[in-house]
Amino acid sequence: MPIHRPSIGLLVNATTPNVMAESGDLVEHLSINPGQFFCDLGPDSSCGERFILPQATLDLLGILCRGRPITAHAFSLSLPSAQPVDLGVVEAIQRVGDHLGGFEWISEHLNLLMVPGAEGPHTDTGIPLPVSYDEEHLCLLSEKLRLVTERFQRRILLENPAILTPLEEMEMNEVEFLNRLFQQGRCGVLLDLHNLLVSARNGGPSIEAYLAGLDPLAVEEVHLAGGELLNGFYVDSHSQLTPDEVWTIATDYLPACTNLKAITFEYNDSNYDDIGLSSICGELERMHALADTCHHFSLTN
Amino acid sequence: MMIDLQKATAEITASTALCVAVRDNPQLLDQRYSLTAREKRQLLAMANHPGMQASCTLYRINRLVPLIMNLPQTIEALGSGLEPLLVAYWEEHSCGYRYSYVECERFCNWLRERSHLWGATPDRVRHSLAAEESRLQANLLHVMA
Repeated sequence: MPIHRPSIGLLVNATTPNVMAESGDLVEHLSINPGQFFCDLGPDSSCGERFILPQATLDLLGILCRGRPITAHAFSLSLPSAQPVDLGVVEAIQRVGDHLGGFEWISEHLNLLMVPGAEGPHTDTGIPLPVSYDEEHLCLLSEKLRLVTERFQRRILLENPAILTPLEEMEMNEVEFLNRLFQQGRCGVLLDLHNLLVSARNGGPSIEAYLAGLDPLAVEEVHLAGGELLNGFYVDSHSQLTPDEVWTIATDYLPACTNLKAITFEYNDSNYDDIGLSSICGELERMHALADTCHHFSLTN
Repeated sequence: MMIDLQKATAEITASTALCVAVRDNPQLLDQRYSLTAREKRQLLAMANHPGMQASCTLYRINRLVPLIMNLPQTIEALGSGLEPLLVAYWEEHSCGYRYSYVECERFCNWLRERSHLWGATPDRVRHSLAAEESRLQANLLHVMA
């Protein structure tokens, strides 16, 4: 039985082909935001079709992804929103996945990304907003996760958010909320270590306390990234390499995550020139060294 | 109510004016939304949180970027008239659309109806708007092809 350690990959952007050309086998998987590969014209679309998939772009993406496992990192469902799951969007995500040979799993965000009952198809919150961790939201998410898991026939992961304005007086903390969903069998966790740093620097829980409470078995993917200051607040801008503080946490914590399957680096294509190709390749090499220290698993677990 | 808590969370982030008004007059929350006492306290704490400034700035950046990317000449032609127009647009339409062509099309329609606010060079705005709206339609048709 082949033994694997967590796979190393990138969140796809317009500069990913440059990195792939330079770094060869350092990129073992690719994560894509399927919403970037369909256009939602809304239910009242004048052309009669709600979703348009740009075939030429998808074909290029297919070439880029060929031979590598693909995961979906979606922003389109806003699962915590108090509204039914948009099954049209679920189908559009599936169509993108089918074009690429299927997603290994699908991750979404533990953020409010759409406002329930907003005007027509215009529902974007503009920025990811905090969710109140209470029984009502837990029930809502649990049922929606059950539904989307059934529809996708894939494991769903939820990503911990980067919060600038944490809500107070919640019935449970974020870790308890995620642990409960995991224990119910509804989802795994995409642990964004940089988001933990953002939240901690902006008045959220300490990273040590957070990780001491989180069930390490829940962690199935990890995101690494870097950020910057905006008006005195540290934000998750994906504009830098992963800071040393995050590397230290990753080195200490990830070996305990025995279900960890993938470690993914996120950077913005608009920051590609500033970060530099050689630095991105160096980051990938460092991620491989990290993965070597993590739990190794057979493909059956 | 969960729906109203979520709506209020989004609206006080989208509108600096509303956020400031809620800080000054917490009763405004009762007038606009149906909230439990705890939800009201959560929203008040959020409106007063120092991170709201960064959240509101990020909101504006995220709403502005698609317009700059797709309508650069129109945005430039509006000059000093741009900021009040954007504030008015975002007050009226606090939710965006993740597909920038659709969002920009809505902004173009909205802007066309407000030619009296086009600032010092209305002819330049008219010309830029017409050209960039056509390009937007062409891009959309290209995607659909």
